[in-house]
Amino acid sequence: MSTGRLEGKVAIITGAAGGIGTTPDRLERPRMNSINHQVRLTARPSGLPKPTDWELTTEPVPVPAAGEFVVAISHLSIDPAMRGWMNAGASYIEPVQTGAVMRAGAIGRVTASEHPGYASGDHVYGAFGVQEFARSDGAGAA
Amino acid sequence: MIGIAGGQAKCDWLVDELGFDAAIDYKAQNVRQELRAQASNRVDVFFDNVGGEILDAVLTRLARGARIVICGGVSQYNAEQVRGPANYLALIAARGSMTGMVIFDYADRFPQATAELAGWLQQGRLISREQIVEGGVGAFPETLLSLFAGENTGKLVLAL
Repeated sequence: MSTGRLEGKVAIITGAAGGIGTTPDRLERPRMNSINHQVRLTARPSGLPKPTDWELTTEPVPVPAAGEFVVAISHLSIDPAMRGWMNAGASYIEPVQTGAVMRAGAIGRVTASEHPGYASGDHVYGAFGVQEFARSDGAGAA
Repeated sequence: MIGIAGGQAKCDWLVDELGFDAAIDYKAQNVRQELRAQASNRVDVFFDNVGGEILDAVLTRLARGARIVICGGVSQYNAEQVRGPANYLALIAARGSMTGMVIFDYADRFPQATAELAGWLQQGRLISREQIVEGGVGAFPETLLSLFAGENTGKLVLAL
């Protein structure tokens, strides 16, 4: 069973969450990579998720505001419970909204920080989502 | 302690490496019959992550005061019509209970758990197996689907 990868299906999203107020000339470039690849939920599946239920999007790597840090994600936790998060309706956690980056537990290292509790290079985990870089205020992270 | 898994390799791992007393291969064996044979004193606690036919089979073999913990139900996650447990009335005779469990309720104790689990891993008292898929975020959709086909053999991780 293969769904095919999301190659060649790239949408440029500007001004979306994570990229608000950032323009390329303002971006710091602490790493070679200045593009953040993300997987967004585009439709609520019926039955097994289909390739068309997802979209691979890109946006500039976010910059932390005061009280925030940015993490470069190295590993994502892939869990059966993710299927339930894709459904509308009340559950033990808010559904992932269509158009939003898919929720996922993740680990990575801080690349930039304006948060007093986190420094560049720190190893962190949290619900950072299916993307390469995430901006966080530290809620649910450690 | 009895584990239920799909395929001989997973069942061997449960018994030989993880220390289960027995394992039932739900793909090749009759779960209800095997529970009768392997758990002759019936089932005291069932920690359920699958639901469906397995849950129904366990319901027929409950000990008095049995507790069923519903942590997940992977057999039903992609069903357009969720199938309920047909044998739930067995809870009456067993004076049994069925309770949902959500790990986020214990978030304030995650640091304590992380420290204890890490210690047990280092001491060899806890055995964990990871299956790390190298593929980047573009491989997420197919990696997620592998969970619903019984393909993975450990904690599934996608490396970016």
